[in-house]
Amino acid sequence: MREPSETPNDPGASAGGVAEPIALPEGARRAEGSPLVRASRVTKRFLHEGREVEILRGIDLDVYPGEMLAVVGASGAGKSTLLYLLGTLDLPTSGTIAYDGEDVTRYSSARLSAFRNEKLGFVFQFHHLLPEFTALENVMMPGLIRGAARAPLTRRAKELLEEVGLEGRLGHRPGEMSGGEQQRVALARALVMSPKLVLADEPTGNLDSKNSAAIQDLFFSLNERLGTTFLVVTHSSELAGRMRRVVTMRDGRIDSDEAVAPRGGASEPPRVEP
Amino acid sequence: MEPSERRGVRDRSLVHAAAGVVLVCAGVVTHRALLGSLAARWASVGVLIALWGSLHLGLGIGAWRGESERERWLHLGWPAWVLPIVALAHVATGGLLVAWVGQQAAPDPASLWLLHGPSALALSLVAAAALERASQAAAEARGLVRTTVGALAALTLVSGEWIAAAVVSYADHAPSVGDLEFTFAMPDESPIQRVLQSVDSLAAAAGLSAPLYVAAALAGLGLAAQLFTIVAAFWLIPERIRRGFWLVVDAIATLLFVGALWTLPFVPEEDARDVTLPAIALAITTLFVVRVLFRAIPRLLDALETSRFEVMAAARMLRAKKSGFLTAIGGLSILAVSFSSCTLATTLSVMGGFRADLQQKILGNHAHVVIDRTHGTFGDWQRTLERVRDDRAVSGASPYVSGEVMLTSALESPGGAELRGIDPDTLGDATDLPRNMRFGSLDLLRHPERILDLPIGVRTGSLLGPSSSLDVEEDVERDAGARGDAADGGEVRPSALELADRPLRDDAVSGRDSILDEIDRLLDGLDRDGTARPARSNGAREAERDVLPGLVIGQELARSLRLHVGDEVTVVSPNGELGPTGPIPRTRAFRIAGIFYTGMFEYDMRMAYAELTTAQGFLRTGDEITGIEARLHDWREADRVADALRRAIRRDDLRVRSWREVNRNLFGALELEKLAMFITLGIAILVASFCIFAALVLMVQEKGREIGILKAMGAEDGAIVRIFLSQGLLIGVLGASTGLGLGYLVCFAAEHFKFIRVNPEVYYIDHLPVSVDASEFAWVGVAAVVVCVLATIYPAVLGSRLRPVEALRQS
Repeated sequence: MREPSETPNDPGASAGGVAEPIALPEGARRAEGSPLVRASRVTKRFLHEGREVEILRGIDLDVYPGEMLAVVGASGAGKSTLLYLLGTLDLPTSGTIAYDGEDVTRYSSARLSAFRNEKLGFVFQFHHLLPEFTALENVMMPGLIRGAARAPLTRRAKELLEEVGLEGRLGHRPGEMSGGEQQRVALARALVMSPKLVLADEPTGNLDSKNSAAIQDLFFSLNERLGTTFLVVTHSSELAGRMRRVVTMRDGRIDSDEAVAPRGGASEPPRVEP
Repeated sequence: MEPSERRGVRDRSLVHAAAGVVLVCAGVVTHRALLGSLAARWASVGVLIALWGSLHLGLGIGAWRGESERERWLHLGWPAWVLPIVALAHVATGGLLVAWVGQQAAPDPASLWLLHGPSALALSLVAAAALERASQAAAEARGLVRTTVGALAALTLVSGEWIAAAVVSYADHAPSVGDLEFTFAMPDESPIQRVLQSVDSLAAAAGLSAPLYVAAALAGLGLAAQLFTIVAAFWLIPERIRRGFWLVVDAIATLLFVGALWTLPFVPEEDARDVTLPAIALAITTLFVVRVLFRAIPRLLDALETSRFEVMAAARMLRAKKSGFLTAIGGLSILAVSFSSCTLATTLSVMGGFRADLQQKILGNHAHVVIDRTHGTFGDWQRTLERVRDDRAVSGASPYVSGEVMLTSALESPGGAELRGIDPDTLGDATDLPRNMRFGSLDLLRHPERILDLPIGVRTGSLLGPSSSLDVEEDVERDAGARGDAADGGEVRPSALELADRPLRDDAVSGRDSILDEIDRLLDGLDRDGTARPARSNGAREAERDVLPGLVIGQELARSLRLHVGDEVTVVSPNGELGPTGPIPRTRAFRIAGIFYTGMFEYDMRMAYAELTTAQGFLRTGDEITGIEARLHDWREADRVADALRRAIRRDDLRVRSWREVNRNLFGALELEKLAMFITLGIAILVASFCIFAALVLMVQEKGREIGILKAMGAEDGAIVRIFLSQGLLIGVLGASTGLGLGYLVCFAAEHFKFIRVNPEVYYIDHLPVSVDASEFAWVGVAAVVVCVLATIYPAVLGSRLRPVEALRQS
């Protein structure tokens, strides 16, 4: 994990001093209907070398459809753990995580798999593509897992790769692509099943500034055009600064939750030259 | 780098290159010119000039590439892959030239080296370029070691060749050698040996053996290293060129295969000596099948990848990349399964071959059903015999009486045997004995007086008898032939000749009969003259003239007692009358009426057949017999028919046994041996499965992150298990099918080409018997696949248990 040069848990720093931070009570701020995800009193404890470590100490968080949400905080604040819990990749020690009012922590493993497949998309820091498969196949993979028909799936994957500016690299394997290209493939893969929520863990953590900006632009453009909800865990103050809502975590708790006036992220051209 | 500096470098490299080109040309021209002139001994100077030139060329290239761009290359560029191609071409032309020279009556060494020279020059140039590139390349450049070693090997090889060329061209033109011709080869030597010997003797004549040996050592070393690096550097050749190469190979293989289908026999003739053509056909077929497999496996995996996601992931993980062949670990696992199932199938086939061989011999010599008493003899057997013959499943039945006896001949000490009294007329219906007669005939048992009328060829064991690879038979024949000089020809009667011809096996050459006729006629004539006949004592002659009851014995017994058809033999029965000092053995003289060969040592060593009533009289059994032998239309029904016969004959004192029961111990031992083999080799498969097990556990470890990704994308635990099970299944199916194919190839070759020879003295069969049983092959295949799938269960479950968070955090 890369330590950020700035202190991202400082709200002033993350807002960049441009937008005025507005602190609002949880849930009262949005009038766009019921939340997409509601985490209530979520705790997570690990047993580490015989000692119990409390990573999350009671998280309450609502994510609304169409939101662009950044989770920031120091290393070890529990950001990634929260993301994995919201992504149902791990189960909370206590508390509930409800999607559309349904508690998914009670789902069976098989049902959770199906749920993840259809409703969630993941983008990881190390992009986590399957090295044996081509870009196109990687993007198709969630659909293949679901057993979707190949022809429409291939069409959709091609469209998405075109969307992220990789139409010329369909047959390339991850090893033959640059980090920025890989991350764009990962983004296309996250979107292939048209999920409601895309969870991104340090999506720009390993990219240079140019590629990083390109990925961020893609996020905003997709959010604008498709209405996809993004929850991004990041160290990057630049990325967090462009988000409309920034949740700051400290020691397993939510330190602040601020709606920020957008800094014009979506106004930039969505397409990036590869 | 400053432009002026760059220009300086370019100038320098150009000077080097120009000098190189000029020197190489000058060297070649000098070499050529000097060879034809009086100063031919200096021709090798031209070679040295050319080498010097090539060095300059290398320096020129080096100056150009190395100094103008100081960065180190990650790719070795064209020398890396041109080198193996040129080296291959050089080695191939060298081989062809050697073969060509071998065909020449008086080859000219100079022309040989001139023909080989250009390719050697090209190779040394490419090697110099490759070495130069390698010295400039970055440490992590792909194929660096292969290229360096290959280039060094090429230079070693070429320098060896040049030195040899120099030695030979000097020796050939040296005055001390004089008119010594380049060739004085033995006609049966291989072309390469001829060339080498010629060169060797020339060098020795010129007193240049030492440099020649140095050259040979250098060239040999270089060649060996070169061959290795050609193989290793094959993958440095760009894929497009390699694909073209395989296309050519496949085209050739297909053409050869189609041609072989049209022109070559695949299964050799029975007992064929020369199996070259079928062997070539088999080799072509094998090459073709292997190439088809290499083409088919990626296609097969491609096809699999269009099916379910789990199978797709499994197939892809097995070969690591699309359109790739196989990963090392996947390939190794498949090879392990392949070899173990091949071994298992082959071994089972050999065991089956021995069993089939034994069974065939037993079935041939033994009746399918035997009716006898536990001990002793029984009377009133005619009715029983009738009842046995009445059964529809029985094709023939014959009575016999048997007893333990000893046989003594004039030449050898006694040997134990089982005397069997048989009915010569019906025995043929019950056993194969009449068809196994080597010399003489069973009918002679009925007419012992005719034994002495047999033609000389039969009586002495056929001077021109059927040849066989078995030593034993040759031994008999040799003995017979040696004795034939002194033997009594006897009179020829047409009936006896006819009689004798029948048992002399069906492969009698028509010419042989006439030769035997001739011998008989001559001996007859000599007899009438009474002069040239070898002198023999009258007494012995009179004894031979006695009409004695006939006895048919096995070949092994005949050999150990040194008996031939027409010889006299004394049979001793241990249970004789009681004399004042205990039982006195009863003895009786018999005359050998025939010698049989069954291929079963047990029979050929122990059995002696006499006419039924004669034996009954000798063994004092009266009218009683020991048993009835019956043959069935279908030997497989022996057990069922035995039951039926037991009910039909209605005699409680008799037991009815099938051949299986009679030989139960033998077959039991064989089955046990086979089972033990199966278990032992099954363990081999098991060990191979450990390989798969370890490979897949490693793969799970290695692919942990990917499992996490798949799970994050919604793959269920079951899907992960299925991915790894599919891998096991793929490894098992690919391994088992290739292994069984290889096993079939080995079995086919061993069965038809009989190339695995065994000592007939020990095994009583001269080649490894092989019997391919399709069901056994199928079982081996099923067992291999099942073991592979079982071996993958644990790694698969291990993989499915990985929690996605942990798997993802591994990186």
